[in-house]
Amino acid sequence: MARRAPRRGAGIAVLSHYLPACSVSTEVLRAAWGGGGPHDVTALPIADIDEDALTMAAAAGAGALAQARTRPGAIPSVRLVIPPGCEAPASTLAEALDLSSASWRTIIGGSAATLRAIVDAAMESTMGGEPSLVIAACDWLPSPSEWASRLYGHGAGAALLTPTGGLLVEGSSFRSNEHLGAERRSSGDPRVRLPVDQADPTEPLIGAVAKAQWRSETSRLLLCTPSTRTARRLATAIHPKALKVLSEGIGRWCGDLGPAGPLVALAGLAGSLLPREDVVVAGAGFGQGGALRLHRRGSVRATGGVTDEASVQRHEIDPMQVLQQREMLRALDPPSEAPMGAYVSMPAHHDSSAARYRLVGERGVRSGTIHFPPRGPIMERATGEECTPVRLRGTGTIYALTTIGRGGAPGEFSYQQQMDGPYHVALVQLSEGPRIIAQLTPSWMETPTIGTPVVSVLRRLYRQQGIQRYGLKFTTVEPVAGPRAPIRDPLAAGS
Amino acid sequence: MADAARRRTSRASARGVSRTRRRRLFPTKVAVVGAGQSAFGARGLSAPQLFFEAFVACVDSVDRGATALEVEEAYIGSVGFGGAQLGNTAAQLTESCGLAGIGVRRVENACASSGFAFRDAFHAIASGAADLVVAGGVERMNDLSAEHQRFWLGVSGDTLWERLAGATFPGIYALMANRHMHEFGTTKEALAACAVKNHRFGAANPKAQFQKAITLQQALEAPMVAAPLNVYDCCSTTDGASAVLLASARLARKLTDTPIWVGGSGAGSDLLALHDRPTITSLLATKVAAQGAFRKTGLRPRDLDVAEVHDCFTIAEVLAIEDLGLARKGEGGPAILSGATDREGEVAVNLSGGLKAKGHPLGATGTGQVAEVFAQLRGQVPKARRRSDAQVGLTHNVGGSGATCAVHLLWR
Repeated sequence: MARRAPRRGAGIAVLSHYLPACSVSTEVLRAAWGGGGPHDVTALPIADIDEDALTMAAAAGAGALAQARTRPGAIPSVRLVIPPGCEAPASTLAEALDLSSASWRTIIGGSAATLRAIVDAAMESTMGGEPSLVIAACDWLPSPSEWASRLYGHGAGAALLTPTGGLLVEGSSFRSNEHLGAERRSSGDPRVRLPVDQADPTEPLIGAVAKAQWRSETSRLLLCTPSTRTARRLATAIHPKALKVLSEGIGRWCGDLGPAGPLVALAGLAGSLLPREDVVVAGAGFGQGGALRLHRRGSVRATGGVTDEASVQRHEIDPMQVLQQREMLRALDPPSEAPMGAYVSMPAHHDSSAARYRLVGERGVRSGTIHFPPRGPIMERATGEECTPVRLRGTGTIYALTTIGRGGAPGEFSYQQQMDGPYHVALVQLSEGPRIIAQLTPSWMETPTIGTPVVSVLRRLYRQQGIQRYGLKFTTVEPVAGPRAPIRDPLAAGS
Repeated sequence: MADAARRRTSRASARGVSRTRRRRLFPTKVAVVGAGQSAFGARGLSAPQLFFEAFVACVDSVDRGATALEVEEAYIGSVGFGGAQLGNTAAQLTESCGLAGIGVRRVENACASSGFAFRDAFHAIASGAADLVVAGGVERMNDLSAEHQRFWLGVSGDTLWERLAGATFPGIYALMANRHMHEFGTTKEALAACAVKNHRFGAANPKAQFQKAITLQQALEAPMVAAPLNVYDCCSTTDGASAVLLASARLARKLTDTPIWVGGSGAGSDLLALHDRPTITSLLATKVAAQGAFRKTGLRPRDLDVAEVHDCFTIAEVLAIEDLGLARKGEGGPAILSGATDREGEVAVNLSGGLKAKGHPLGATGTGQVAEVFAQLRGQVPKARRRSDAQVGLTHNVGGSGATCAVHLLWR
């Protein structure tokens, strides 16, 4: 059957993803929680104790912006997709990505919501002629009973759509599951955690895939499902030939990445797509099923995607202990009713957010000397020259190092230390000259030494008075030698 | 030993010079006529009760006329740990000593609060504005829960960056130690030897918080607080108070036959945050303060007999020895290991047990150091920690990680 020429319109120009280095073994999960869950998923990527949807979204977003080499001010629109119950304040993320001037929309949903956001962004980009960014992140922590039926991994992805993007958004279709929709309506809370698997997720998905015009002869199918078993069941329902494309799925060790799934999976697939090849991406979640047909008409820049579990070495964590501790960490505030000798108010924190999230310092216009942290008029007076803001690269080496043990942490970090153990604090000599003090992450890394190259990453710091504080930490550029060496995502290093 | 002989000769020749020159070398305008401290430790007393105890000990140490003292001004150092009485602290404390009515103020410069209170009191006398003033300090640190203490510890560091990196003072000084070890090869054994020495003196000090000697092995194997610093490298949280009476020369000679003269006073400051400083293996504030104090007397570091230095952490004593000129840069650790800072070494350092063993009630530490040197110069301490024939002493009081520092020279 002759294909018609692709329509004009916006497409995905850049794809980026971030997957945390920690993982849990589903075998241990099943042993701890009495079985359940798909049996072909062996490990799930899980956010470390200082990561969450926001930090992962920031890493994925920064990766996309770095690859696109786009001026942040040139992106007028950003869509952020997170699952119900996740927290990722758009204002903080906007500051971290230097996209405060963009229009931000936070969308609550699963992978179908991400697909919908891509379609909306494509339409906006087509009509406006400007780039549009979609970021999706998932750090959902299901209860043990939810885990028993469905496995959620953590991660984030980002896609930049431009009028000339190489992966044209050609067609789409979305269906909602009436049963789940009714349940959400009756709860009255759009963010309610729905029992997603009480109804057959294939129902909306199959219809959506069909509507998206997947053709077994010419298109690849990417099913964002919690396991290959579910994918196989879906594929059989869609078309017998769909089975042969299952190897393109998210992967055996990922489980379902929620809304991040389509972007992470696409980032992995983009490199292998042939010119003029089609791919249909389908996903279901929270009562919605959706499918998107993409056509490769040009180049797409993408960071490496998901690979099979054998090729990655990850830091395994005890799921019971860490997940419960993390839940506790998020639920609890340090005793904020206490008189706090040292207290950083939110306004004080916000005042320096550009420096805290993006390492924006100052450069003397005549001497070119870099100052950090920035001091505004104080520095100008002290140096006798005008200073302009400059974003530092975030690379440097360890100048001095300590490991904070029991009793050495300030109150703000006492919960982190109780749950995660000792952590490293370093004075980092930045490449541009100034020094800065920061924690090193992950805390389980083998202790580095003076001179070790490091790079900045955005991380959770502590929670106080119900507000999560974020800031930069540093991580080693190369995996630190040791028996439990983490696999670092290149995107994190590039951010 | 040759150095020791030179030191003695130097001091003797200073004594042998003309009266005018001696006046310049050893000014006799301001004297300490009484000094005392409360017992340091987890006391369970209120701040006014602690200060009362110190004030009584101070007044009791005045040889004559203690009952007829007419104190004109009071300078009280306190960080206000716990926030129980952050405002008007001095009024609350002096009231407990029957001093209500005189001019009082709280002086706050972190752990150097009463070091600076003493300096202000010194200036009040030296300028002729007053004849008898009290300088003191107080801190109550053990009445908070462990969780609340963690919010108050490190309040004097750089809050916006250092604290948000998860570091309080153990972490900050650990960074200094790590760098010092890297640059000069300072060993963990040298830090442990410092703890052993100070605990040995603390064991002979009935007012010390930790009156127990420790072995080198214990000091090396203690649980880690902030690597490379372990429990025995760090001072504890302490309740305590101290008080010192300063008098003009005229009044001092009436009150005592053995006034301890304040020979020199120096003060310095530095950038608050460690990451802003050009070096972290030296405290600029100490150097500036020491230069100021020595310059005004003509004495040199080798002329000292005793020194009470700010050893909130063992690495702090190493830095202090170097920055005060008692050892060359990078040789502070070897100096401790060689015994040069022991009781009968070149300069006896921290015979009270230091902040390490005597305790570190933040605002009370500076005048507590003066009280120790006062007693050492008058030979009024147990033999186990008494420097024989001590004539010149130094106090070195640091605020936080070195943002402020006060150094004083005293002699008899």
